[in-house]
Amino acid sequence: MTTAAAGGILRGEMLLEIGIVLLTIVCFVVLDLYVFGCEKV
Amino acid sequence: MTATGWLQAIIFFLIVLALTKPLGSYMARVFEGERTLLSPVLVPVEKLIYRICGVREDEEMTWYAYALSMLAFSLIGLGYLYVLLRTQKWLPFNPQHVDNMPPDLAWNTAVSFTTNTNWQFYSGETAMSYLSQMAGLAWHNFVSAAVGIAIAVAVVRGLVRTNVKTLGNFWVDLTRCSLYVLLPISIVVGLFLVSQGMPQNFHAYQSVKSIEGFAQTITGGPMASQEVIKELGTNGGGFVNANSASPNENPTPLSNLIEILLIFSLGAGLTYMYGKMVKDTRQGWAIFTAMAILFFSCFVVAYWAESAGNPIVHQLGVNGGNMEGKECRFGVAASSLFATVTTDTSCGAVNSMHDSFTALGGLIPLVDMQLGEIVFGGVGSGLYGMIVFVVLTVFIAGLMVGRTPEYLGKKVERREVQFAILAALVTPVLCLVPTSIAAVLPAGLATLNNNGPHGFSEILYAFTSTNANNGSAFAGLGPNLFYNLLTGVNMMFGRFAVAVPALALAGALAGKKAVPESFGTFSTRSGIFVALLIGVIVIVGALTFLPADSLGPIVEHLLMLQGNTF
Repeated sequence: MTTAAAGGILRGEMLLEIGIVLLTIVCFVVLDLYVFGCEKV
Repeated sequence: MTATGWLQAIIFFLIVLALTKPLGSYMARVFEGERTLLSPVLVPVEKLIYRICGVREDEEMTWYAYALSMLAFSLIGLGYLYVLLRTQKWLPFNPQHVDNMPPDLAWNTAVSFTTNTNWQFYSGETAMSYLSQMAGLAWHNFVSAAVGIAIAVAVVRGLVRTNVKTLGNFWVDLTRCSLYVLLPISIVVGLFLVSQGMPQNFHAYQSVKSIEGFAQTITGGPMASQEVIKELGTNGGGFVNANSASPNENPTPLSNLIEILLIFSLGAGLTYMYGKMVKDTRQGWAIFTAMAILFFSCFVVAYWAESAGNPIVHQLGVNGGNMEGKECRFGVAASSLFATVTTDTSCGAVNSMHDSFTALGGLIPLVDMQLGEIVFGGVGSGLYGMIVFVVLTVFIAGLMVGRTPEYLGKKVERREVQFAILAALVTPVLCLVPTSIAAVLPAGLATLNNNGPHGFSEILYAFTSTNANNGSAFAGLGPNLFYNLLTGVNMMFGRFAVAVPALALAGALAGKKAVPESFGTFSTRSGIFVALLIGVIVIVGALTFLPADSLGPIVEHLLMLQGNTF
C-alpha cells in the first residue's frame, strides 16, 4: 500500500469517526427534544 | 410433532409459572425499598455506591427528570463502549491479538448493547477481546437490563401513586436492580453453567486436531459469566457467532432448559411484581394470562411448521421435520421453543438459525417481534409495553360502552391515550419505513444473500429485530456502512422512543386522583378483559404488518408449495 493510499484510508476513517460522533449527538438531541415535547403535550 | 416435544414445552412453562410468584414478590420488596434476605450483605454496598456517585436515595424525580437521567446514562454508556471497541488492540486481556473495531461497526455494536438489543454484525470470537467482552458487553448486559426494569418500575409507580408528580429515583432503581436482582442470580446460575461444561477462563483459543484429522480451533474465554446475563437480561448477544447453538455456549440439554428459563423468568416475575405493587395480584395474573396465551399460540405454529418440514425436500426422499440450521442435539422441538421464547422477549439469543426455518416457522419470530416484544417481553420493556396496550384496551372498551375509561381507579383521558398511541406507533413506523428504504436502495440490496421473498424477509427481519431491540437475525443479510448506521439509529429510537412516552404516560397517571370502582367499571382482571387485550394486540400487530409479512414469508410459503425455494 502506498503512503498516499494509507493516508486516504486514515482520512476516510477520521471523517467517519467525526460523522458518527455528530450522528450520536443529533440522535440524543432529538430524543431530549422528544422528552420536552411530551412534557408540553 | 412428538409427545416429548410437547412435554418439553409444558415442563418449561410449569417451571416459569412456579418461578413467577417468588421472583415477583422479591422484586416488589426490592423496589419498594423493603428489607430482603440479601440486605445485610448488599445494603452497605448500595450505600457506598450512592456516596461515591453523589446520589440522594430519598430524592424523587418527575417523569421527565427520570427520562433525561436514563438518556444521559445511556449516552455515557454508549460512548464508553465505543471507545473501548476502538482501542481494544492496545488494552489488556487480548490473547488473540484482536484488532480495533472499524468506526461504523463499533458504533453499531455500542448502540446495540446500550439499547439491550445485542444485534451483532460481527463474530465475537474474531472481533472482540476478552476485555471488551467482560468490561464492555457484559457490563452493558447488566445495566441495559437494569434500565429496562427501572423504567417498568417507574411506570408501575405512576399507576399506583395519586396526586403526585414523581415516579421514584432512576439512579436508585438502577442500582437496586443490578445489585439485588441481576447480580445474585447471575453469580449462582453462572457457576451452575460452568458445572455443565461452559468455559470460564482467560486462555487463548486452543488449536487441536479433530477426530477426522482436521485442524480445529476451540474458543475459550469468560463465557459463563456473560452467558447467564445474556439470557437473564434478555440481551442475547453471543460470546461466539453461533450463539447458543455452539456447544461452548450451550453444552447440555439442561443448560438449554436453564437458558430459556432465564429468558422468561424476570419477564414473568415482573407481572406478579406489578400485581403486588398495585395491591391487586389478579391484575398481574390477567397480564400473565394474556402473555401465556400469546406465547403458546406462537409456539404451536412454529413447532407445527418446523415439524411439517419442506415438501420439496420430502420429494427428494428426505422425510421428517426441517433440520436445516438446527443442532441435532436439540432437534425441532427445542429449537422451535427457543426461537419462540427468544423472540417473544427481546432476547435474541438463538440455538438454531432462524434464517433456515421454513417460511411459516420463520414468520413466527417476526410476528413475535412485531407485536412489540410484550409476550413476557424484554426485562422491563415487556411490562411497560404491555401496560401501553392495556391503556389502549380500556380506552377501546370505554368507547364500546360509552363510559370514560378507567384503569386501576384512574380515568384514562386524552393525554394518556396520546402517549399510549405514540408508544404504539413507534414499532410499525421504525420497522416498515427503513425496510422500504432498504428494499429499493442499491446499498440495501448489496449485502443480501437471498433473492425474492426470502431476501425481502431478511431486510424486514433486520429492521423488525433492531427496532424491537431483539437482536436475532435472518443471518443472510451482511453488514455494510448503510446497515451499520441505519440499524444503529433504528435501535436507538426503537428503545428510547417507546420508553419516553411510557414514562410520560406514567407521569400523567401519577398526577391523577383515584376514584373508587363502581358498578359500571370495566373489570381489568376478568377473562373478557384478557380476551379483549389479546384482540387489541393481535389486531394492531396484524393490521399494521400483514402487508409486509405477505410480501415476505407468506408469499415464500405459497411459492414453496408450488416447488420454488429462495
